[in-house]
Amino acid sequence: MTNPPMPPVQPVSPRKLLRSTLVAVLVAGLLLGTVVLPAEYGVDPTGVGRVIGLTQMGEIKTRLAREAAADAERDARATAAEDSAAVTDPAKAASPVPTDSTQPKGDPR
Amino acid sequence: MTRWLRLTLASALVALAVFPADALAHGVAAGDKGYLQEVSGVLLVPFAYLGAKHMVTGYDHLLFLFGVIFFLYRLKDVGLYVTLFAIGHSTTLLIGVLTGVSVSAYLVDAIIGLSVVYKALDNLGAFPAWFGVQPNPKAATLVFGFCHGFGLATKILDFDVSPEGLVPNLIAFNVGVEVGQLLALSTILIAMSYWRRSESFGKHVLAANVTLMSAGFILMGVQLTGYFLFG
Repeated sequence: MTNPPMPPVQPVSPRKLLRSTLVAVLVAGLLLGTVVLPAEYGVDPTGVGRVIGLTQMGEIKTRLAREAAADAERDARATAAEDSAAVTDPAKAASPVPTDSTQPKGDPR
Repeated sequence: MTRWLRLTLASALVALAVFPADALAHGVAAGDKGYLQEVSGVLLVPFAYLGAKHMVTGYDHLLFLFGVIFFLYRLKDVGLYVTLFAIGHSTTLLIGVLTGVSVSAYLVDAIIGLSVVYKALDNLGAFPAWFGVQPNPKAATLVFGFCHGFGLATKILDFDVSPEGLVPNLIAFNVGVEVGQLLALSTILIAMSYWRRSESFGKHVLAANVTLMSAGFILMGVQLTGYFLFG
């Protein structure tokens, strides 16, 4: 398989490069401030995100992420507690009806 | 003036297209995360699949690779750079997971954004123009490969993957990464080959790399903001 020769590409002058880089930074900053940060984190430095509805998206997303993290932590703690209870207190875990045995069997009257 | 306006608009559109908002929770998806925590033992095919999936759907890696092959048109060169990148990626993924060393995923992802910006500037010849030196592109690809792999190691560590069969699984994952990379790059390369044949390619080099740079800056901005908010 043969490839076509690479077409000549004009070198870009340092001035133009700098301008291009600034354009790239400006475009990135604009999109970050108005679209991406509102949508991702509910961070809305320009107010545009609220107007176009993306800030609400970001707020819901971060809230759900926080809730999910809290849930996961609670689950992990519950599992750990269950495990340690079963390991450290085998007698308690083994006895079938721990409380009923202390109560009177029938009505004394 | 209109030229710059057009350039800016085109950059904005492409950068937006590259950033589907919900895909920003990058890495291994929630369902895969559950699977990884559930299983143990040697599972070569599932791990290879996840590695390939990570590469094909990981737009930050794809952006970087797009930058890397921008001026590569011989399949041999593409293979060389992909291999360099894969060596870097695989090395730090293994080391990171096995030693348990992890850095904030936000910071690693910000460096990945930086690697996209770097490659775009490199394609435009910015380093010789500004500083009079041309960094070795092979070394740079390897170094950024290290960064990309470290990012993934951090994510895998978060998932508490079972230690049983970990090394073969990670190697399978890396093989998957390579396969996914080749699949994704073949697709990009076909499109690039058509584009390069056209007369207008030379005129669009600047616009394309400015767009790539913008996307890199956006990645950096998102990750750094995330780091300061939640890191």
